[in-house]
Amino acid sequence: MKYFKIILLMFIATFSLNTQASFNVYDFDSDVTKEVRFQKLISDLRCPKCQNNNLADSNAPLATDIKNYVYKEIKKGKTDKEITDFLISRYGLFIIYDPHLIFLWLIPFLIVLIGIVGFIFKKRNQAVKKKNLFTNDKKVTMQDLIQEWEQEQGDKK
Amino acid sequence: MKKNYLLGVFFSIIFTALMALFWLGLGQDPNKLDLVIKDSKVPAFALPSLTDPNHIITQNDLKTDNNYYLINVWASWCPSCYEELSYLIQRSFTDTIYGLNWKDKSLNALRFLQRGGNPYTQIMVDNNSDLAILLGVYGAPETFLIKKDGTILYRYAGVMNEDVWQKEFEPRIKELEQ
Repeated sequence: MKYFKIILLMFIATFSLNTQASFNVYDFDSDVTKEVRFQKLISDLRCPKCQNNNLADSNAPLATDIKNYVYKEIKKGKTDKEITDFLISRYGLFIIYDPHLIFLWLIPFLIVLIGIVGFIFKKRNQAVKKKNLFTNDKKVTMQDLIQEWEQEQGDKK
Repeated sequence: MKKNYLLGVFFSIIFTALMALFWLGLGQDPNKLDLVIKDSKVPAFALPSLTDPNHIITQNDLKTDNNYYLINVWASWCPSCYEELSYLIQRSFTDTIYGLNWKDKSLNALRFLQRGGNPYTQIMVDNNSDLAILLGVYGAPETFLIKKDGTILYRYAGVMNEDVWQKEFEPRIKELEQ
């Protein structure tokens, strides 16, 4: 029971931390679309100081200032693209989490494709081999199989 | 067999390519950001001076008798700025250095200079990262190398010292003189 209480206390402690972190208030005069855009932007933009956080999660003073910038620009009526383009022009593509390399997205499909092609080739080769083995007129004996195996071993060497 | 041989070549090519990628990629410091505004002019700004808060400094006030000047981003909350200060004072005998006091309390900043000396020709106070965002600043200290006409040439993020000066700044300044 003692441990249960301690664990419960730990839970409460961490939960209250969580609410504290998202305390900053940005007032959009109940303009919901702007508010939604703001939330989306700051969760999509990366903090230049602590790079494993987005702006929304980051507590770095610089992140706060960039959030304030985004807030001001949205209030001014700038579009999302204008805001991200400006930040890219200052901090690089880095800040939108997107290296703009389409080829990176193609790599997994390429690997799957190579796999499929390889599989088909292998199946076909096996089928041809089997056919050759059994369509010969003479009976296939154990001796023949052993001989063929030995030949293959020789080839490999 | 021929097929196995081809497969071997195929995989060794892929292996080498991956090794090269990792070698190049892992050698980079992920915390260093590129200077996106390289070769553009110092952006327009209007910030108060640290020593005289009523005086507003703009981009037109950044002048020098040399071919180049420096903008140094610093703050009293930044431990390595203390380390850097003595070197900057040494530099300030020959170079023009402008300070950008970034997200600092003015009282602490003044105390910082009182203790270590003031290498700066002028100091701009940037509490809301107005100029810092325009310059792409992401940490302190940072030092910008700027041509006399205001073209931004280079940014060094980290503590400035003689090593860094000789390796990164001197060659670029020599290029200017030619």
